[in-house]
Amino acid sequence: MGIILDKISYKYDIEDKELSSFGIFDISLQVESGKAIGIIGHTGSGKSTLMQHLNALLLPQKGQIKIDDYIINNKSKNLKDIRKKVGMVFQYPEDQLFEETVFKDIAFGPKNIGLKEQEIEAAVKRAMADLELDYEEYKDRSPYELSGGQKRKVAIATVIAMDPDVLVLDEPTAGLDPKSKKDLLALLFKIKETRKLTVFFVSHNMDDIYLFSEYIYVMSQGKIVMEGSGLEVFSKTTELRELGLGVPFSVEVLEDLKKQGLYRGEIKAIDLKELAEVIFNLLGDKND
Amino acid sequence: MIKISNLNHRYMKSNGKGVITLEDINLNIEKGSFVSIIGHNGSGKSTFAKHLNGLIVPQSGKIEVDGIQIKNDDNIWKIRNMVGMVFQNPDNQFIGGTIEEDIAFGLENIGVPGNEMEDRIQDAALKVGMEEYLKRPPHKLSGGQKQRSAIGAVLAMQPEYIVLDEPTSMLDPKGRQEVIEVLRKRNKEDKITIILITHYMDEVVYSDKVVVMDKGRIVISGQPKEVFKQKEMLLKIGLELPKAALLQDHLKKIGVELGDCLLTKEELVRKIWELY
Repeated sequence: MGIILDKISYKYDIEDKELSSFGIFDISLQVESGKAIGIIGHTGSGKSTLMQHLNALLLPQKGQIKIDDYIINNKSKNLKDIRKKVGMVFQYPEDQLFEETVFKDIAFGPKNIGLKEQEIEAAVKRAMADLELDYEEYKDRSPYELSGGQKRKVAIATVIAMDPDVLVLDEPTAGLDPKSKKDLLALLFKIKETRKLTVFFVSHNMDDIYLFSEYIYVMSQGKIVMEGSGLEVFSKTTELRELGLGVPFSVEVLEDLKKQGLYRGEIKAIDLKELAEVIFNLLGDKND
Repeated sequence: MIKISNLNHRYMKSNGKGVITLEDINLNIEKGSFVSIIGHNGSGKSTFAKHLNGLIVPQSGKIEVDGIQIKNDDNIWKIRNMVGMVFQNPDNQFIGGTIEEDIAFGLENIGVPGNEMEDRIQDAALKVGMEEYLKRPPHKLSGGQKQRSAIGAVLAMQPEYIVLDEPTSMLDPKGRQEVIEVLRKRNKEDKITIILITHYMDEVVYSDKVVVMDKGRIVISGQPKEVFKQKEMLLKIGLELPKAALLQDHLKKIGVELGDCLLTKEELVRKIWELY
């Protein structure tokens, strides 16, 4: 089981010549269920277009997508099932909250797919528990009265409550303060584990991408131009910079140390703790 | 100088309860300085920012901009010309059909004569590196270009101070860098006072002064090195350290002492080079 994209293409029908080259072109990839996939690329590289294909918001003009037993192609009609299967968290998802209470907002999706009242309540409770939102405390509150971070959690709960198998996270922490950001990412990937979700994680923060992705695709001009583990992708610093992308902090530091002749090892993405050890050894070797 | 003394602000919630959003704020913003304001979501940063050009008039306490007090009177227009504002979402602040029209709109509003307008538009566009895009409509610009244009429109009004409320939070890394570079340059070359509200710790390391807000109060204020020394406090209120300082912290744990708080990658590498 998993997700297979087989040569999908989608070109925007825009008269404007400057913009008409946008879209995605001949994309093939295969993702095993339960994996966390990082997607990076500069603005306009086709990331969002690609993501919108995963739950059939856009239908591929060419090629097909297979998600477990479902097939999406340009003739696909009954899209309800696929939308339930693939949950999308867009940037600033709280802009889409509209009900008068938190409960109603989260219940909206489950209700829409015809769940019974008891099932709806159970789905809302479970989603809120997953997002660490206390049910009794929040269910009757207006989403508009909540803080930015809580609003974001409610918005994500509306997606989780549909019990998807696949979750697309497009910059899920944009605009949050550092701690809310860190906490929310940790929480989302905990939910991924407990609910055994396949996650597509789109972000401009290379440190987050490195930390949370098991496999990374790099997009440019509507194509996948690089792929691999975090270690593999982030060792290609020249290529990434040419694509207008950044690299994790550790890579930047190791590069600079190398330039200064202080470090002779491999330039690689590691976390800060490991980076500290590399520097420790560097200074230690010298003292020996 | 913007002088803020004993500023308080509260608002009424729908249930009739009063919520304090700013409490006893005292701060001097020196002319020509680069001041960053940080704090978690809901700490009062934005409410504070809106006070600085009279979008919100003080409920109690006093704000003076170059000696003129912000009150509900005719001076408020003078103050808005002195203190420009740039907000988070570039798409919400465009009025004109092209960048040129957008900049002209503000100038018309304050009665700049037609012959002078052209020069001021050109000059402002040049200062934010948008001179080649004047005829472009906003939707054909990247996020960074849009925010730079918004800053250009404010610059054309020739303010003394510019307040920016999370201007980079919707931008990609390249756009963020472009915006910060423009701000640093305008501050250095034109001595425009910059008041930057942000969530990115790496953006504030170049400031003259960093102001940390929590629960409507100023809890720390000082030079970046002084502020980021207070690690426990910052973490407690939901902020973090710049990456270089975080790494320094990890190094300290395993016995590598790098001395004073390091804020940038450059400082860090230099320090390691010295020790090597």
